Amino acid sequence: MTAPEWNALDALNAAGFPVGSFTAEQCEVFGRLSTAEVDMLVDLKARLDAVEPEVQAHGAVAGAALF
Amino acid sequence: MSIPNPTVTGGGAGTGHGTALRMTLQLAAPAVRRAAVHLWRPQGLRRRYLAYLLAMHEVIRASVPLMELAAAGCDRPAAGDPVRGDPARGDPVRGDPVGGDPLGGAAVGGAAVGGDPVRGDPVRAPLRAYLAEHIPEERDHDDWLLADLVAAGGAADRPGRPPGPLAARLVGPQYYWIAHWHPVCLLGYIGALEGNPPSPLLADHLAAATGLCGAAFRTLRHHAQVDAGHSQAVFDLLDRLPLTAPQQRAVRVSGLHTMSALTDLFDQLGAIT
Repeated sequence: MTAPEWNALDALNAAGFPVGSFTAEQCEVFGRLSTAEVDMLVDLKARLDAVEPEVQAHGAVAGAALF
Repeated sequence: MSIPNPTVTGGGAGTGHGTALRMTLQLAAPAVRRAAVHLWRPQGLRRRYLAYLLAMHEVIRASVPLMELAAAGCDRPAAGDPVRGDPARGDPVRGDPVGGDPLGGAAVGGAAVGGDPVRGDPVRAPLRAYLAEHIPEERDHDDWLLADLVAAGGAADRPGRPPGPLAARLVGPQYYWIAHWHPVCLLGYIGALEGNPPSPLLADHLAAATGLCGAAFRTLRHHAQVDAGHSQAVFDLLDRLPLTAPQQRAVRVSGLHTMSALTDLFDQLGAIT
């Protein structure tokens, strides 16, 4: 029995990303993501989901990263 | 969760690796924005802004040293790089920063010449040129943050304390990736940070909400004005670079890790009441 082949889009879809609304270009790019990359995205999305309405209400003053 | 369809400058031109990085980082951007919005909520904002300045000083003090390390790394193989074979002969290449992939993907591409990862890597010269051009733009911003801190009523000697683990988690991996794999990894870090700059409205909003003087927001205002252009320069460079598949993946991992660590740092600051 072999392990199922990795499919990044399936993994993103299972995590609740709106894969069905991705453009063809997005599907091509995101389809190349590794498990490590998808894991980081899924973790960030999980932390976002609980508080998303706050983001939408105050987004005009968001941003804070400095380099 | 809505995923923006990015308006991509230069999309389809060149290699498109910058476009791909930008699109990938945009998948993670809502989490960073959420953390920043929580950080900037009105109640207790003055205390959090002072803590933010200290935390950003811990981060930004590493910007120029990282760029200098990456520039130097463009001229030498990664430290501890194992002995490699000669791909021109079809030998296997182990731990090769050009062709190998320590991040879990298949080793695709790579152009080591006679086993020399520097001479055979077309990424290094344009990367070095980019860094040489942009290092002066980032110099002394850590001193600006200290001046902002003093203007905000903070103690100028506070940066003498040991940097926190979240700042180290944000910055530290870049030293590892540059030293032990490839300096191009830094572009993921720069793209993530400069791609999530302060809003142009933020400094005025914070000044009104905290009552602090305008001098306390010099660094925020500067980055709100210039970082969009700086991030565009990073993505444009990546759109021109002939990255191997492992290099593309390494840059994306660097960028996504930065988004994750940045979210953690903002969440910690946002927890200050």
